Amino acid sequence: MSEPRILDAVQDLLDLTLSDKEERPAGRVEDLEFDESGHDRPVLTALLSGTPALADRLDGRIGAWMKSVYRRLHDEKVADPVRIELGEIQNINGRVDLRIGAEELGIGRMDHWIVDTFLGRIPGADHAPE
Amino acid sequence: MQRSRSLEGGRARLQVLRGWKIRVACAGLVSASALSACIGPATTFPVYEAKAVVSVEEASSAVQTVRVAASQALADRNFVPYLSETMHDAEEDVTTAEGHFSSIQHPDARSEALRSQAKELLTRASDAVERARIALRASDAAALSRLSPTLADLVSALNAFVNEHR
Amino acid sequence: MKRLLEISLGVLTAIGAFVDVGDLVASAESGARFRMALAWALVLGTIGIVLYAEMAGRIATLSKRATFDLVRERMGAGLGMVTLVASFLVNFLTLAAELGGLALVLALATSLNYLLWVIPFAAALWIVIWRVKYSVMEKTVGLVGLALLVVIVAVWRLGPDWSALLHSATHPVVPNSQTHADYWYWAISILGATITVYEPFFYSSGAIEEKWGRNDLIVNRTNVYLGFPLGGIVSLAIMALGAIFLFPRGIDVQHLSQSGLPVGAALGRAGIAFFLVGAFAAIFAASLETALSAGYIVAQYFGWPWGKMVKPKEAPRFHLVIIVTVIGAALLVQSSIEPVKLTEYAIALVAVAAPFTYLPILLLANDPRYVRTKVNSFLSNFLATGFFAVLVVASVATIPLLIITKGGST
Repeated sequence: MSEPRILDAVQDLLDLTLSDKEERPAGRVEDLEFDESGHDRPVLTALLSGTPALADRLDGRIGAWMKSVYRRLHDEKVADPVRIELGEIQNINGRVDLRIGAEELGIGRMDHWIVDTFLGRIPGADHAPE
Repeated sequence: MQRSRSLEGGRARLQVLRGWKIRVACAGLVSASALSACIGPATTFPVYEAKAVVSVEEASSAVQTVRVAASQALADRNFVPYLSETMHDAEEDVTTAEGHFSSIQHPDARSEALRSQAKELLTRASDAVERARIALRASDAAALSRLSPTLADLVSALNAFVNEHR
Repeated sequence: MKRLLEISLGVLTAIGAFVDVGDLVASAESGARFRMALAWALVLGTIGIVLYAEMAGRIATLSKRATFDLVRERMGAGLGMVTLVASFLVNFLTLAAELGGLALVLALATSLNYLLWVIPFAAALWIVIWRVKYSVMEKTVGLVGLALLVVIVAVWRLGPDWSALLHSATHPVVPNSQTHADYWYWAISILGATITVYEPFFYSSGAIEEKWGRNDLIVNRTNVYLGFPLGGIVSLAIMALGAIFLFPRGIDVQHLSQSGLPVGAALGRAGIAFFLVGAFAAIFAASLETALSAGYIVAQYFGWPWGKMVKPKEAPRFHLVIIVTVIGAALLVQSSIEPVKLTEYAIALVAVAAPFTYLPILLLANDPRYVRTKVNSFLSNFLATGFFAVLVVASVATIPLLIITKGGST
């Protein structure tokens, strides 16, 4: 186990790419969740990811528009960010490596839909052009 | 639970503001290009004269292009499809120049003479270019050959007009 | 030996793929209007793209991250979004212009209306992206694009007055037939056409796709320092053809057909054949790069999987973005906007957006967190910052000049 490092939450954690346990890209750290109750300093409790989190971060009209598009695409009434507990983090080094897979995170439904609806039907979707 | 949004709310707002600037720039570019395509009425003789020069120059460029294409056709220095496209493009340019010029209102009686002179030149250009295109289409080398001096004279006349009125 | 072959291939590919429809149009038209008085703009633009592409390649090789990936990380979600929107719009418009260019080349070869060719080529473009291996794709179009070297032969064959040509380049003068506003508009157009804003993003993503390591830095440098300037010479030759052949005849380049006439005069049918094949390959290369670039920047911003190196099923959103962009661009061209005019607008947009897309590269190349010990030298920084200042001035001046000159055609 290496020396614990001190990271600046905003500088070094925000906007990093996330990588699931299979080392596949799993989005970015769009926002951070803090617990400010009853401590003299806010404590980081979770990383937030996904379009809704990005939408909140962007603020204003763009964010609201993003959220409504998301809701329509996912056929849902609420748009919740993907929440990553700190315990699910394996390592942070230029990117955040997670211990869990994409399904557990709750992402990738859009990807499956794209593949199932048409991308997967096109010949060659299964081969990397090697 | 608090989001970090509050920590960088200020920065986020500034960033969104810049997003608007991009949108404005894009809108500006679109409307500028729309504006730049506008044809305005000519209010004075010099302005009308300048527009006449532009139209005649465009016609001259097209006629010269046709001359080059015709000579390459006669000397077999190019392919027929290429030259055919070239002549088609040139004809389009002359027609556009003609139409553009006709649509400009001449401001006074003095520009009446200028108008008829320019129109005559543009019509000659249009005819010559059309004949060249047809001759090429029909692979009529003799006709193309006969057109050469016509095209040469036309270019002289067009350039004389431009030099006189620039 | 293998390394030498690899480097040579890389350089040749860079030369062949350097020119795109914007270069063709802007160089030919500038030569026809101003003789060689805008040669300096071409040289300046080439120096700029060399500097910035090298930086982008270096950043990608050493940090193992693509440029736009890092843009998001360093600039945050908001500013990153601004850069994304600007870059994407430029990509989109440029792709449309390139597709239009491809259609025009085929129209010249077959005399069939250019509109017939748009959809087939958009489809062919997408199929190549979907199925063809990255390196095969790059090398094939790059090598075939070398046919465009015919323009250099054509210049030599026309036997111009070399001292007059050189004088025109070193003592720039605006001819009587042109206005100063036109001159500066076309100077900016040459700059915009040469710097190809998508290039750093494409180039850096390509470095990741091809898994470049530290040993490949030399490949990067050679490609860029040797290949790009030689590619720039092709553009210079096109300008020279305009100066030698079109200018004395008062021919204005309104159509692609006019840009090739000097080649016919100099070298006949063989020359024209090379010209058309080379132009087609070079523009096809540019189309591939812009289409992929659109996918790269969007996927990298959001943190989605990307790349031709993975199975399409593993990067569905990346491929979806590319498909949508190609379809959209094809529709834009199909709407009968005159392709040469479309190209000119695309170039103008590049000029406006360039500072937004180039600033991150300059900053990242100086950041040891990403390039470790290989930060910019003082000289690189001096040149790159100077060039950036030029880009800012050009960016601000573009729209006013566009309005004043009515699109460069007063």
